[in-house]
Amino acid sequence: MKKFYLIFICTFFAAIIVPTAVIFASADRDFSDNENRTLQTAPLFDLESVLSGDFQSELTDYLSDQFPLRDKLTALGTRAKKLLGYRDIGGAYLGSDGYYFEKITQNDVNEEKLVSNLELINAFSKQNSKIPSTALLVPAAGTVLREKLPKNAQMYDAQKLYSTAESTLSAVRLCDLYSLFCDNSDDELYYRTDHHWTTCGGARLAYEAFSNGKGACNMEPELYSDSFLGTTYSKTLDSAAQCDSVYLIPVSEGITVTADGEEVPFYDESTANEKDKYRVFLGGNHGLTVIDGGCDNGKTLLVIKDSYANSLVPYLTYDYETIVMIDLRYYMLSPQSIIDEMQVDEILYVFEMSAFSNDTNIVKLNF
Amino acid sequence: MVFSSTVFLCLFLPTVLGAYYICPKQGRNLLLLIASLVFYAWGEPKYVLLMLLSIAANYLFGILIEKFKNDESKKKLTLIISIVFDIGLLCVFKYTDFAIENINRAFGAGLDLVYLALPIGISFYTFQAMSYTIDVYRGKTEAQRNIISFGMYICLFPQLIAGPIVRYTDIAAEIDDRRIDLQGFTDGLFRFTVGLGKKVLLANQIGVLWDEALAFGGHSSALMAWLGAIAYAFRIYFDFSGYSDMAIGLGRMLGFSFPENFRYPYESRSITEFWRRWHITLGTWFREYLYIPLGGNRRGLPRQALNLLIVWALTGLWHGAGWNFVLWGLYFFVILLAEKLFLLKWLDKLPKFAGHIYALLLIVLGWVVFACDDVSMLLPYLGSMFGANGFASGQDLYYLASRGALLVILAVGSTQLPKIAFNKLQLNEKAGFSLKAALCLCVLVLSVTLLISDSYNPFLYFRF
Repeated sequence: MKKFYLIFICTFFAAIIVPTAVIFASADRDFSDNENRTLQTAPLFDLESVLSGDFQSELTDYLSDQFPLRDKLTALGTRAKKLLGYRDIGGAYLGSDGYYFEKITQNDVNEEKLVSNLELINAFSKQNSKIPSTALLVPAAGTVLREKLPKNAQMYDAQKLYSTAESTLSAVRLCDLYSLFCDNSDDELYYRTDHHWTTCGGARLAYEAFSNGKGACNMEPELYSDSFLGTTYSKTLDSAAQCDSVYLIPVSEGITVTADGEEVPFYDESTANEKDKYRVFLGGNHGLTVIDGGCDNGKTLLVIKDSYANSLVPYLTYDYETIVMIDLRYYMLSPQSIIDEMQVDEILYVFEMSAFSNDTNIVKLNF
Repeated sequence: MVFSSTVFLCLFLPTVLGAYYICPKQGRNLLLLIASLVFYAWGEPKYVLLMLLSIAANYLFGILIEKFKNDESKKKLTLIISIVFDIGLLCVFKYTDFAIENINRAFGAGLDLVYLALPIGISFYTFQAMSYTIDVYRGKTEAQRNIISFGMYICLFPQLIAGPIVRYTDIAAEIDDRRIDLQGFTDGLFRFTVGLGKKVLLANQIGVLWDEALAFGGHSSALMAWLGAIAYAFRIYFDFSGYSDMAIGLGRMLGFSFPENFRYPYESRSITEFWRRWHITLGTWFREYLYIPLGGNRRGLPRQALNLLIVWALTGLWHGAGWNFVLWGLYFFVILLAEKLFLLKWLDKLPKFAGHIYALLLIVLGWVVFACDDVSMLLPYLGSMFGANGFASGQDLYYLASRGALLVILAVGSTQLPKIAFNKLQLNEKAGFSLKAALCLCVLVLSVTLLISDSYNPFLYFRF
């Protein structure tokens, strides 16, 4: 028996010591594409950071962030959970047809904050009452593609939130994207592996609703990438996932984009080799983005938005010579002064509803 | 540091075990003392000073009490001072803000809270220290003259932050001389892995379901409320007993035999039985050092009831500085008294399954009281359990389907069935060992896997 004991003990400790040695011996990974965050690298040991506890928490993060085969282990965990019958993993529902949905229930919606945020944009539009304004409140994929959710899976009540919006927004035109999307739910409105809407599906429908079908853009979308695995996939790292395709609407050659004072490409094609291909649109979110020269009708649109707007904007460049986009999460200056300085002709609000109901930055409209 | 972390598993455990077995016997207590202080300092370095103060003071109290062994009044006075000191530390660091809040509420005093962070494990090591001084006073053990050995006993890392509460007399002999063989070490490693699996693979996995049920703020259907409460019952059992398993296993690897803390409590058929099987070392502590000194059951029924009331109010309060914990203790006082007076006799006449249902219902309801640290949530939640908002809805069916298999595993895992099934196989020694070893390694790999993939890893008993 002695031999049995020794074999077991050695295997046990080899299983923990070998990966640990690999962590310290191999080069650190700086960034995790799947988690979209920087990883903890080897912490520096000094008395001050030990006494403050920083060293300890950094070392803890370091070991789990740099653990060998970290992503493979996560995928293995997902496999085990699927075997056990889990229908949601890491905050994502495993839908049918290869869909992964963000799990956002009514409990995740802050109804009071929703009303106060709606009141904030309503007041902003009121104080600019000569400028027509429109709100596109985007329903999360799971609220629309209900039949693709796991059976009985809960999402927030988008209908109810729309009723709230309708009764609160007196000075803003509200496009009922929810009904529109529900009526067109066969049209690949959203990515399967990402929470955003697709260029040819959700974004196009939203564009048509916003422009009442009179928009000038009639371009055919072009395939950019067929290997996109987005954020809802990343929550699970499910090995069964199928890639999405990303399409782009061609824009005018002379178009210029200035993001927080720097010139950036309209389509950031360096993302072709990166994981987050949704960043192809304007290179992701910026505080202030100014797009110029999509057409030459002299019209200016102000978009106050979250990331859903990024793939909608290509269509809008055909109707507005200048588009100013403000992301209140990153923009710290006064939106009103932009209206005053840039002679804005129209205002557009684009937000996903549940995130909007928890957004603490809308108050910056008053800056 | 917690056991179910990569730092403990990958660095601390192999380093300490390796050093421990290389180190000659006479140096091992010092090694364990240093390792335990590092372990303790990991989260909150400054509270090591508090720990050292507690060690030094109780070391002196022990020696003084022994010195005065022929002078009853001095001996008693020293004991009283030591108890005031230990309880005093506990009260200052654990209950100050709770007391201020209540004074403010009662008298509108408007005092500021002091926001002292709770030193990890203070409720556990204070009780261990008191078991020592009281037992020296009672002449049950000699005072420990070696401050290194004594310090190691107080802050021994396996049971430091979440028990079991090891009384000094439990391991007095092993502190000075302990031996360990290969089989003992292997058993300890098995036991540790079982505990790790209970914590990471079971408790962590079901924990979220309670959070989801609570998020309804008392507006959920009955089925959801029960699912949440049952999830909490499983979470706290697998979390806490898993921690005890890890502690006992680590103890064995180091040559200690710690007392058992849980014996399948959810198999109980009465609440009296439940408390003999749940957190056994705490119950033993309160019986030995409070209930019996108060007179126990030897002074007539009214006095016994009063003693029980005191013990259970304090047991509740020990679990946390909040009225829900006091209420939870009193809840058990009422049930236990009723069982003593008449209920147990009735239960005996009923079929076995009725006793199980009775006990499980009361245990689960008790956990709801325990878990609602916002007391205003308690009544709405209990209301929803009894159908105030309807009995079932789509989301309940979703959770049943999505987590049903896990719930079945948890239910089976909290009974002796797995053990019985294993024994039924009647494997010979080598085959039995190989099967156990293989399962154990699977649990280790899966646990590391989930530790890496889930950031969801809080220990419930950290607040104690």
